[in-house]
Amino acid sequence: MNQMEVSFSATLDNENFARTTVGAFLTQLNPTIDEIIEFKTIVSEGVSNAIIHGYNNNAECKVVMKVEIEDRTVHLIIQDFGKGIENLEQVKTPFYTTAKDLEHAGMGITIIETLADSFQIESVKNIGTKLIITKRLKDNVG
Amino acid sequence: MENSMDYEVLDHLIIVHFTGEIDCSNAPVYRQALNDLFENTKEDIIFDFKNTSFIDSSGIGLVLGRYNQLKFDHRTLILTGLNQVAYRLFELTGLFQIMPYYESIDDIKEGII
Ligand SMILES: Nc1ncnc2c1ncn2[C@@H]1O[C@H](COP(=O)(O)OP(=O)(O)OP(=O)(O)O)[C@@H](O)[C@H]1O
Ligand SMILES: [Mg+2]
Repeated sequence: MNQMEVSFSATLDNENFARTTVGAFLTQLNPTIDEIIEFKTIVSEGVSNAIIHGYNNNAECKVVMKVEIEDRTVHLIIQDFGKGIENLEQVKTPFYTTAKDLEHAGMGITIIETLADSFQIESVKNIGTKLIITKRLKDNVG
Repeated sequence: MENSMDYEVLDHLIIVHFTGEIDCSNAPVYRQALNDLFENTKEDIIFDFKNTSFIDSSGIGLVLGRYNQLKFDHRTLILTGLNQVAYRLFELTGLFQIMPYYESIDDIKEGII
């Protein structure tokens, strides 16, 4: 088992940092280019939601991200201590968004569900939101 | 790779090339620049993602928003060059049911010009 954990300010300037960090940590598993893009997409969706919806872009707040590798299974946790989600079923509905005016498509959570092997949301109003994502990498050939 | 957007005019089309990554940090900037471009032109539009290494849901929102804007003026939006993962996510969103997709610019030229 191998773990890493980072905490960073809730600003969209850190989107690229969050994606790249996870990508770099997973390099040791020798993933395919598509697998790396899939992980980066999951990170991007989770982190942007934490920053925009959880914290309303307040850069004084912190997003926490943990990655754990077990054989070729990757566990990813993205957590904020912000607004929280009241109706968990509703946010999983494709095209559901509370930010239509900002041209959000409402696809972020649907995308995470599609790309992950398993996906759970834990959230409490005004306490925060935790995404628990598991994704297995294909066996390394050659 | 620096994130950027530029465009060229080809016959009766404008090709917009996106380079680098598209996420929440730059989608609003592209949205504004494209609004300005569309207001000052009449041509149909191609979005070329051949040199785009990463797109998340903010790219989907950007494309949907511009599609609706162009549709209002009876203009067409064509997409090309998506990487495999992004293609799958655009498909999941149903974008190819409302706008055409071609593998490459050459395919577009053969198909419609
Ligand atoms: N971490 C979070 N804290 C509070 N609310 C959240 C959080 N994540 C998601 N939500 C709520 O769930 C809704 C759906 O999220 P989702 O990522 O699917 O769509 P979106 O962010 O609105 O749009 P897109 O991701 O397509 O840009 C959001 O509009 C928001 O109301
Ligand atoms: Mg989102």
